[in-house]
Amino acid sequence: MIDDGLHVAFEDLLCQYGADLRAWPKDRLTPVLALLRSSHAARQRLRLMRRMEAMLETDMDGIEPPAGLEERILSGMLRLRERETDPTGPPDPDGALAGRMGGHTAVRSRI
Amino acid sequence: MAELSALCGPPSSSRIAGLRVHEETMLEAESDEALMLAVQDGNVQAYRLIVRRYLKRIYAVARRILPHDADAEDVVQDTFLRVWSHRHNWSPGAARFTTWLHRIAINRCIDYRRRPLEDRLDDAAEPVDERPQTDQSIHDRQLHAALAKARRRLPTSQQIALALYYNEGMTGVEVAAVMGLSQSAAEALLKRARQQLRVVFARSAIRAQDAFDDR
Repeated sequence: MIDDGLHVAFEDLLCQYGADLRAWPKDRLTPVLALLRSSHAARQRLRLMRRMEAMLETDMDGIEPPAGLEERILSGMLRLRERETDPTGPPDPDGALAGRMGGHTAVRSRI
Repeated sequence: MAELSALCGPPSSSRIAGLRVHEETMLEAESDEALMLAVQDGNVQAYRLIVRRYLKRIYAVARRILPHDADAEDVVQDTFLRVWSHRHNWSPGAARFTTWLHRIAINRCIDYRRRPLEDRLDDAAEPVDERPQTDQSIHDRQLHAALAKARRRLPTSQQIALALYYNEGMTGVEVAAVMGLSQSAAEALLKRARQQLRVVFARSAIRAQDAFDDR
């Protein structure tokens, strides 16, 4: 019978480092490998984490940007460039200069 | 020189287009950093290549953090326009270009998530998958759906850390750099996200398995 505390500690380490044991620190790995050899429950926990991480990796896989987005970005950039060379030009109707979302000052300072 | 230009004649529009294609082909082999230096000099072709190189990835990051296609599209458009308007803020020694680009994108996502609810689109229903399904694929789809739902309910910072780590393939150090956190803080975000998702995932796996066994 394996101490339940060991499983709890293993679970905690799984959440800390993920299911790829190659990425774990060496000093953590030796006792974990011993636990995995002797405990079916530990192996099951590892399998479940591997499965979850595989699903996280493929979540929304193959997602594509909408058609025409690249052209819209380039048009916006050309308008910005025009404004740079002629700041007295007509106002920017689409808000490309300020950003489509309003251009909050706080965000500008974070960039 | 005058003889040469007399021989060549004035540049025709097809020659100019040809030169543009040639320039773009030459630039394609350049690193992000070299392209950004060209963008800083106002080179439109270099900017176009940067957009083309990263549009899909940045859109995918934004879409994983934001609930709707339209939100992600807005954020991506805004992100790339900021690359242009803030191009002189980037310097090759300070941060890798991809770190800088992702940082702009996630800051825009955070900003978008902070907007009042009434400014955002209403929650749209998930599209229904009408492909024929086997028992195993139903089982997997149920798990996938439960996990995706739980993921969307995580705090924004945890969703960002997951997207960068699992979908952008970044290391903990890179996630930390993009998010402006220490490595330990970024890893703590990942750990908390895994802990919460694991509870939901284990519960859903048992439920789906029970339903599978009852058939």
